[in-house]
Amino acid sequence: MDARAERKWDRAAARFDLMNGLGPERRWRPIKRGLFSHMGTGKILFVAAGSGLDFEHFPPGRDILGIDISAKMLEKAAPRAAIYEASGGSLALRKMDVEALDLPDGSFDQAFTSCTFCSVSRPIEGLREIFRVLRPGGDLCMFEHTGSRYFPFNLMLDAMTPFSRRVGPDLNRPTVENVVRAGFEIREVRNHFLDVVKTIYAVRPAAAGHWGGSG
Amino acid sequence: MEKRLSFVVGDILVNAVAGIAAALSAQALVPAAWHPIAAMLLGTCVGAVSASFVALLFMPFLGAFEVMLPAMLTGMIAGMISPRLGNPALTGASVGLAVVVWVYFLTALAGRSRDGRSSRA
Repeated sequence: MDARAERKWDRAAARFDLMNGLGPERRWRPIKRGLFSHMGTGKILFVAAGSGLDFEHFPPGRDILGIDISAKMLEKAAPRAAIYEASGGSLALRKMDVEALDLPDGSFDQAFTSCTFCSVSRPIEGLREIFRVLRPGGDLCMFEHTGSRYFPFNLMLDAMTPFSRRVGPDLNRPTVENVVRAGFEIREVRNHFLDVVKTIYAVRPAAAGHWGGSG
Repeated sequence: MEKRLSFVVGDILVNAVAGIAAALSAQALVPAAWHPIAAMLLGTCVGAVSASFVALLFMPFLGAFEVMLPAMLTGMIAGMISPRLGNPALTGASVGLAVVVWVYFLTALAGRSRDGRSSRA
């Protein structure tokens, strides 16, 4: 378990909804609804559940395991999970580090993330763990913010990251490249704001080896 | 690309206010006697800081990156050029509008790719 990340997100839990629950949530609602509409009827892993702000976008009746590194985040998420389960689905919550998933190989049909890999300390390790627990042919669907190739936004994001990292996420992660390095095949990248806010659709190749990736 | 009217109008408003705040701050804080290059550098910094405060005020209503990045760029440009130009309100608001148009254009350009290769990240 990444103790430093755990402490950081435990501290952030108290103000998380204030920072993310209003403007950003309103802005990103249609994008998230579109992403989570891809949730199928198999077993679904939702990585970094946070305070559960995303649960309202989940289609009803799905079988979902939500994990997070922060116990305080999960405390906040629990009532929202109960609301989701009242609609007929299953949404279990477990404290877990995505870099060391305590889950069997190939045990999930789909994995979803929402602003997750801006914060995972070793993102490629985390993505490889998702790769491991997905069945061959399983989907990885992500809503993420990343670095930019557009000047001067690339420099601005690089300059802000040392400060943002202290209280929250990195702002300049090459997440699409990391997904490829972890062994996934990218199916589509859709940019929603500049090339920073995006949805990424990838798949664990059916014929890949244990790790799949070359990185 | 954002098409909801409330957010489009909000983006224009934020950047206009950020530009005006940056231009006014730079005109107030950058000494007129300074060398033009030094004045532009200080104006850029002052403008970025002023615009960031404006962005923080609007972020709870309009978003995160969608507010902060354009507002900071607006502030940097408005702060850089305003000490050499008259009418900070007009300069700042014009820069803000231009930045919004530029950001929407880049967002449309970024669009989507099948394999992610058109995107750095």
